[in-house]
Amino acid sequence: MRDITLGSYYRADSVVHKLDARVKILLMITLMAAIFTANGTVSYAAVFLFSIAVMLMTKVPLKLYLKSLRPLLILVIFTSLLNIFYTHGAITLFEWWIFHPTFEGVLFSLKMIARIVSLIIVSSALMYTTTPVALTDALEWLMKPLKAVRFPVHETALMMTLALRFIPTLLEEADKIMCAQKARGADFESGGLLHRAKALIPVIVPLLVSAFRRAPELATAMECRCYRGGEGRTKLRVMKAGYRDALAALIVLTLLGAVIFARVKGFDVPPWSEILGLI
Amino acid sequence: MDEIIRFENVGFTYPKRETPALKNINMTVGRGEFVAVLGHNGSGKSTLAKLINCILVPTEGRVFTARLDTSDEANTFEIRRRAGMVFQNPDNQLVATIVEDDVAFAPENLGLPREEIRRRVDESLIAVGMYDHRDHTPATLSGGQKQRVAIAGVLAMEPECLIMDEATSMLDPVGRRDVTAIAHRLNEERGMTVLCVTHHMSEAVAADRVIVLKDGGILLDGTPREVFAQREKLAESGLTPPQPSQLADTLRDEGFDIPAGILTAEECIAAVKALLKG
Repeated sequence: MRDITLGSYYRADSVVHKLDARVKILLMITLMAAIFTANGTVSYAAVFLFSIAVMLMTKVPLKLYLKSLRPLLILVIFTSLLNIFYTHGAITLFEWWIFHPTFEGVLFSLKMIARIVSLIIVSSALMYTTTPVALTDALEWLMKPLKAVRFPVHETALMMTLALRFIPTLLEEADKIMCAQKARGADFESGGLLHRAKALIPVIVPLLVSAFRRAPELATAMECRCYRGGEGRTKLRVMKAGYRDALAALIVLTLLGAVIFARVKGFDVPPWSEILGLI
Repeated sequence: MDEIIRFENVGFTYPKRETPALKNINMTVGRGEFVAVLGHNGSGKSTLAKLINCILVPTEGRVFTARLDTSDEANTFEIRRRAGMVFQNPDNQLVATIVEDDVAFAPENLGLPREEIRRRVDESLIAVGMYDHRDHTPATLSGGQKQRVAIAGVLAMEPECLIMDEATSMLDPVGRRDVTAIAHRLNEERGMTVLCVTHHMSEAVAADRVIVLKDGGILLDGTPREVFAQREKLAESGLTPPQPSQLADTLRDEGFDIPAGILTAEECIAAVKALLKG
């Protein structure tokens, strides 16, 4: 089993790995905004190529990216086929039986593919290059303004850390309970879906009971280590954003700015019918 | 000797219980002592440990830790910083996904500056021999290693007293040996007071002082040699003396000339050798 506490983190020495996690989260959101804002062909191409560039910069094996794309592959193929055949347009490529694929349809489905693939690449890049610890710390920092509305920021971050800490422990325990139930003749593999779901009840109940038993013990242990909430706490890990982060932010913001500008001005929609008509 | 823990006529009854878990306890632990607390299940030994660092507050009498009254809530934080506690289940006391983050938890709570946290984390991890595992995740460690990390997490508070509440009972023999060795080293090298609640006789033998509890009261209190010589009283409290003592006592009962007060295997071997030669 892969070490679950590291999430999907892939250890590598890249520029993206070195970026501050807070900056990375914000830039991911900015990039997603750019991806959704893009409407012209050139904008789509720019956003898509930028995502590909980020992907290559992370030095994470492409295989991993393909893996995260796989679950959405069917969706991508299905929607792009629909788009090709059902988008009305002026330029029909060929006609066969009931199918009249148009040039606009092909273009539109390519754009949709570019959008979905870019979104997945960008979000995977964040997950592959940032450890869960850094992510939690960054989220805690980014959520700080919510303290004004009495949102328990520190507690939420602590809960995330504890959840990460206890996932492997509880998985191990679930495994033990399953073995114990199997030894008493429980059958988890056969039968229909409902039957198998029912068979899991004798696993889930003891697991919950034990989790609830752990909780007060953990709370006592934390109090014994002088825990008294987030007030007055300091941190071993200090997040530092440097010139590298500023540069990355500048590049991504420029991209978003350009995409927005192109959309507002509307000059990113080449007159395809005229261009093709000339050919 | 300067005192670190003092119990004055302490009694404790858990809420909604009739019989007290502890009654009329009077004792003083001196700074730098290594004390083992023994007792059968339900004898109140864990309750005694929990009274020291304010997890429980006595329902009768008073407990002073580092001369601070545990009944006064204003002292709770100071007391917990001075008397660190390691629990039985290593899994239920580690809070972070990375070893060094876990050790940093207490100094972070104390609000120390970053450099100081770093220094304490490194020193504590070196002290328990887990420095090389500092960037590992607890899930990949053995029980003994996790317990060593838990000790490091307590050491990072730089406490004056280390309380181990059956800290070795869930460990394999190797893990138990490592953890016990660390406790003794801290006691010898740093003069740290150690109070270890246990049901392993072998751990009690190595202590400076043994306290035996029975039904919430102190039955025996003395050096291991004194305590384990009281065979009748030990039997009364449901405890069996260490194996070497048992062997020596049985031989003496059979009429062999073996000195009383044998505790360790080495002493027992020497006595039997002397007997065979003589």
